[in-house]
Amino acid sequence: MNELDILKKLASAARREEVPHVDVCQRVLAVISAPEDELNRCLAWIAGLSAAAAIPATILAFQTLEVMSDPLREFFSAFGGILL
Amino acid sequence: MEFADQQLDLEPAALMVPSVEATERVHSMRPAMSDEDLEEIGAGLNGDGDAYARLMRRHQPRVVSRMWKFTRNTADHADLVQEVFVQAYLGLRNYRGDAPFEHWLARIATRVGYRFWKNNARERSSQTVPVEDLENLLFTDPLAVDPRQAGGTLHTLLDMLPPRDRLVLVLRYLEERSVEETADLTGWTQTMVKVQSWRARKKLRKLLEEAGMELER
Repeated sequence: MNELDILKKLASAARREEVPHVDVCQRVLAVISAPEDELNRCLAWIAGLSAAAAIPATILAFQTLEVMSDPLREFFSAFGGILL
Repeated sequence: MEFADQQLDLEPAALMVPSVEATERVHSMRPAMSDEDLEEIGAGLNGDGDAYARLMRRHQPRVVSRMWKFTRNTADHADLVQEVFVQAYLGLRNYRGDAPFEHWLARIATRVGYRFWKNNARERSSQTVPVEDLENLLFTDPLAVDPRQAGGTLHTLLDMLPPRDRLVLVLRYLEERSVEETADLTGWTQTMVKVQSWRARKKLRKLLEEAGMELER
């Protein structure tokens, strides 16, 4: 007898085993009807927090861009040391 | 050779949103599925819980039986069956009807069971091969063997193998699936199934020999 014979013999007996009775229909229905609201609520929170974080970041980015893109910035910064 | 877990580790499909398009698509499916399944999937897609419950009740016995091969703990077993039907519901919109619903469900069940094994792989106790039980069973008349005892011993024995090896042996020898069917259920190629099966047998043989069993070639 080799490993395959052992496997086959055990499997053939195991296939006759009576499986415990399980009915999950109510549990599944409870899960699939509930999570949609919960998921939507979670997504709304994430969206809200993202927006709250994005607004100041955007304002800051625009201000920085404005300062950085000023054509006279280099000119004034070059004279900055001399004036002081 | 290492095989990627791509197919078996797929994430659950996005949350289902009932839509007219989806329902129409379900109704235009090929006749690979029964009319009852077709109607209930369509109704389920439109949020009809009762229709999905009927669909579940019809397919539940097979799923219950299949998931018993992944765990013999009754609480985990019920959880796995539930997980299969929740995953199926979430992915219902992506069901194309190429294969009967039962086959599609079997693929989900395989994935859920495999993931369960992978998550519990670290918790596997340092079990030993149940040599005594094994020898008692092997030298008993096949019809006189207690199926529950055989199932338990087989489960303990296969639990000592890595999830991939265990999966291929369960599908090929416990469920008596062909190479083609195993490939379909796992998402592996047929060559991969053959190689994995050969490697799993080799590991099983080594385990049995290390436990002191003398095996023929």
